[in-house]
Amino acid sequence: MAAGGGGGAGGSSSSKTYSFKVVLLGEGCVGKTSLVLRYCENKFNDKHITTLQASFLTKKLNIGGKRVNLAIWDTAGQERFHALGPIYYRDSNGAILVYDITDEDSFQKVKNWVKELRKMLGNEICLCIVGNKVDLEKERHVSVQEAEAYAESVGAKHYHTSAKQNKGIEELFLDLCKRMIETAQVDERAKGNGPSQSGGARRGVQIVDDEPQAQSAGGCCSG
Amino acid sequence: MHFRVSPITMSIVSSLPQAFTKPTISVDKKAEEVQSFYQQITLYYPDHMSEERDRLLDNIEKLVMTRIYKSVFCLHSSQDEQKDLFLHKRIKSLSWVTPRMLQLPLAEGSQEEKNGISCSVTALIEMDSKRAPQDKLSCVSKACNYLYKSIQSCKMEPATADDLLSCLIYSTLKANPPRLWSNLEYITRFCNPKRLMAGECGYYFTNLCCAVSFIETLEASSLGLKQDEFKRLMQGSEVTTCVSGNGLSILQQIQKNKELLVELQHRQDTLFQKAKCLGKELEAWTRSVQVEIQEIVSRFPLDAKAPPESCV
Repeated sequence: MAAGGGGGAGGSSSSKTYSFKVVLLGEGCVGKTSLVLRYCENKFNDKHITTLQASFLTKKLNIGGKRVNLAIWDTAGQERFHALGPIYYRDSNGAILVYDITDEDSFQKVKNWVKELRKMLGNEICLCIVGNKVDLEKERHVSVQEAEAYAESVGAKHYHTSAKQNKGIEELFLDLCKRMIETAQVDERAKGNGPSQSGGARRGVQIVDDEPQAQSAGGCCSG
Repeated sequence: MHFRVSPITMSIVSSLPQAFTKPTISVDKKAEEVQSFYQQITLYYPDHMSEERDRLLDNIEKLVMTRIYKSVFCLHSSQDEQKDLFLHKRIKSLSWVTPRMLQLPLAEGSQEEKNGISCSVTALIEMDSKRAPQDKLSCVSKACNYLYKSIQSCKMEPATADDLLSCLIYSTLKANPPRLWSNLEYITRFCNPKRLMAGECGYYFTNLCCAVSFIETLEASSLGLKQDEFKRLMQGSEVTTCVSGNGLSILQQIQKNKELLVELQHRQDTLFQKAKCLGKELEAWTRSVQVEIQEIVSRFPLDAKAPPESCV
């Protein structure tokens, strides 16, 4: 599996800029839109919302002197669009899989996506499983133990959030970014001499996706 | 730094087109060369100059691709042309798909729906007329932004990926953009990968790829239809391609008008005959009046010379 696409930017200088692509997955009603809007715009069900869309959002962070450009891609989660997932996932560094703690079905959906992501992107991708709506703790239908155990079994991290009360969201994204930086650094070291090769050598989105990434790395990595 | 790089890149750029327009080299090979050329340019720039580097890359991409466009876009030798025709036919056969089947988040028949869709249709069609990958991409972005606006004004909340994708599928069906497949392939091959990977344009492009993939593979269940209903619509579409949605009501109107005209013709015919009758009757009447007058005159000759006063 080739490079984490955005491992980002080159140069061996001390100030690096990482560009990460994060896909957002979850059924329609789990609140994934509220989650990112809360994070990027600090808004929740705002009556005066002027944001045109919540499907592509960006955020700039600075983590311990490392600059991070985060691009958050919402994905179409309806059942009829299920087969299109792989087109969205391509080259992503992280995935946030959201379920509603009051809805058992939404958790099952998350499990399906995890399988698909691992199959396509292997261990390169940092997975976050997020139980949203903890403000509705009384109506919980997905047990904490079960969710956390599952997350651990697939090498993902589990988080609890409430977009309504603005709980756990900053932590979620910060943690994810740190993990993605680590992965990118490991990746760079593995490549040895060519720090600025990461990312750029790969071709972007491929339309035909029979064999993910097999041929796309191609001969461009001559370095 | 900037000044040291420019002459080098310029000399590479000017030597490029000859190499890239050779007909003996396959398109994929050319794409690889172009990509590694982009790569070489990025190597000259340190990280803190990333903005300048991106701007330079944009310009170089535009220059190179505009020059070699004809030798790499939709060649007869490639499979792209076949794929274009296939996709064109497929979209044509799906002309009966309605906004409701795709569950568009737009109020049906509203002004927002019509405006948003028609503007994005125009933008999608425009894509084929641009040469540089980035210009093609900005057509896709434009299409999506029109859709966002109408979604937002109908829903009163920010558009999600599901909203955008369903609208984009509908626009793509309505637009049937020329050489759609070739355009997608061309962008994938020759665009600066950084744009496609994480940038906003890349997101919209990915959605367009999703829309095309959805259109290629869609079946009855994707539109919430029953199998036989889907089959019937697919078969019907060959005969009555234009008879969907608006087309139907227009055809009904024509039929109605035709019936009205036939009735009018009939009424005019009777009117004409009756008028003829009336004419004849009038003629006969004048004649009969004349005859009558003649008769009266002959019966009572005018002898009014001498009214015999004496006899009173």
